[in-house]
Amino acid sequence: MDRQFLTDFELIIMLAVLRVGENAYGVSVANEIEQTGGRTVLLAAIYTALDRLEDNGLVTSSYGDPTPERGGRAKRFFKVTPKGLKAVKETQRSFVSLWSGIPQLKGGTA
Amino acid sequence: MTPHTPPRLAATIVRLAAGGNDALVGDLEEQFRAGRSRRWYWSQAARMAITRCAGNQRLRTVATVAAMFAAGSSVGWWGTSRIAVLVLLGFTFTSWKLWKLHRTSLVLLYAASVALVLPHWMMDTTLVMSGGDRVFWAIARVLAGYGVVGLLMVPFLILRLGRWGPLAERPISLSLGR
Repeated sequence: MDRQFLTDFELIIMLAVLRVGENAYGVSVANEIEQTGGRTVLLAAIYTALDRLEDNGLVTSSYGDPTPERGGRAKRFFKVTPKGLKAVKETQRSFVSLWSGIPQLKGGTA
Repeated sequence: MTPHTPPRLAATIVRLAAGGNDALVGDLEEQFRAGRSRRWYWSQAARMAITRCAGNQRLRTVATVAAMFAAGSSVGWWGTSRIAVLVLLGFTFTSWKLWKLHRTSLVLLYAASVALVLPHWMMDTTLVMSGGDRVFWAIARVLAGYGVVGLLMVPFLILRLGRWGPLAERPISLSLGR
């Protein structure tokens, strides 16, 4: 499926994965959204969105080694694909276009 | 149980709601061991369970039918037990707000309840019954509750049950963006 634009939540997740980089897995993505984005998210919601993004070819995932502090469970690391990066840029372009030319949004904060 | 182990029941709920997603279960355990509170873990488990149930068409259908039976019983008992009123109201409110079940059905359920309750209530105030008669009327009310509410619900259940019913509601997505 060719998707041009992302939903707001998908965009937040994609940006968080890009910001975290190599170590992007559920917890680090959630922490990044909390610290940078200022909103708390349900971990399960992050995985649901990431699964959907992976189905659409916008991210890929791979498993690390199981660790004791995770109860012997492996981390699942995510990486944005070139197609995902394109989708982020297109969504950004779309938002910027919508933003421009609105008089109420000009001249400082509301 | 040590302080570093998640609450056993909550951990079971998480495992069931995660549906085989071991990475998610591991993430929650890692966060808990890193210092998150038991309350946080329980909150994650409860929200996961609710979201998973609400997004499952089959579970929602089962819950709707269960609500119908509960309401039928409540309607029947209303004249003798005021607690049933609270159960019915609580169930309906929960269904409406949390589970987002078939709302038209719930509105009709309410209407049927009121229609059934008024005569019983009036009868309670005018008749003085002996012990045996009370049991008979209590059973009759339960059966009547099932019967009337069930009959009223049939056409709407036919319309609403199943994913492809003409009035079927879409499952709720986990994503905040949809």
